Amino acid sequence: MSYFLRVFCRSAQPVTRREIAEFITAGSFFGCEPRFDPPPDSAEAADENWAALAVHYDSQKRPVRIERNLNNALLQEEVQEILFVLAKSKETQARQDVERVIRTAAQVFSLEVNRETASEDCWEMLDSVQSFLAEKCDGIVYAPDDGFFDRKLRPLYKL
Amino acid sequence: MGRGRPHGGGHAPRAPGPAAGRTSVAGFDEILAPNSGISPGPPTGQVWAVPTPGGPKPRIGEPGAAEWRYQRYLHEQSANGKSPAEVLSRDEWVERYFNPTASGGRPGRSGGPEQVAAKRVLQDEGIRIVENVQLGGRYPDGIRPRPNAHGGTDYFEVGRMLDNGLPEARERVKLVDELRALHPKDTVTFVDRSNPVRRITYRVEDLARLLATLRRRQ
Repeated sequence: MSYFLRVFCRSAQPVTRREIAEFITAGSFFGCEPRFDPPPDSAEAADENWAALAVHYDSQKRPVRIERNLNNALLQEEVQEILFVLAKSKETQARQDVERVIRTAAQVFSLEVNRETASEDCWEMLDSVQSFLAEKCDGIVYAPDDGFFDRKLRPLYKL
Repeated sequence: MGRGRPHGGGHAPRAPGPAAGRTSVAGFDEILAPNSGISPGPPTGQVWAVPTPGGPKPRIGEPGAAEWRYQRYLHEQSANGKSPAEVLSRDEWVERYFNPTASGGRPGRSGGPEQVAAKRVLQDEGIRIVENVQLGGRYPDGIRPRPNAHGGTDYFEVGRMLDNGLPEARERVKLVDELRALHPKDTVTFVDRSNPVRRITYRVEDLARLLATLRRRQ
């Protein structure tokens, strides 16, 4: 079943699919080299405007799908959905801090994974990619049903 | 891609143990932190080569977990022709690729019981839960094994449904991609993970309606 981790970023700085693919490859997470769609050496992988990158890390498993949304309707829709979730939770300073970042997000990265079947290697890769994106684009991580995390994945606010 | 290991996601796990034909470790010692626990072996020739880490991969938190992973990184880099000057130091690599998991809060790992329960409900109805069946470049969660009454295929998605009865926005984007690939007699049913009796079934003709729900804020 799909689970969508998000990195909400205050910076709209572009991150290409090639950068992400090269970052993942250098992580040596898997027993064999992951396959990317589009391939990192393709021209489209270097395009700063992109929508999705598939990471095929195991031929028997659903790939991880990374999406990027920049100042579009989906980003705004997700911001409203998350603010709605937050409004139901305990009001603290940490919650206000998280809300401030979410409201001012200029771009969001989504990492779609099958939570029930993802391997531990895959989770390690996801951790590193989220930290990389949050570091690069001044973001925070949102894990639905779990909470919000800073760029080093330290908990900011638990749901 | 590199020469160090096979492509394609999990087809051919690499055997642990010393790499055959290793001829040199020139520069290797300089990139290792003191007392790292990684043993490169004696230099024997002109080409930089690093053996694969020995034994099974330790889990995060077990002794040698960082060292094992860093050595695998070095092995892959050397196998891909990188020189010692081109690889990350141990500290840099660990900070980037190990610490997010080892020191972080592991976002998303916990939870998921609702989706598991919803999956069981579908299985009880005879729906086959699928892992890597493609539909419009996406991967639905379930398929009815038999054709529906019109001869088409019924696909299923499990996810979060909003109070207004719509799937959450990210799920709707996924559904749009799937609807674009549907045949006229096919359906995609979205099942609320919190309450599996709450469902909404889409057909090809619902595509415009679904798209409209994503455009309203533009």
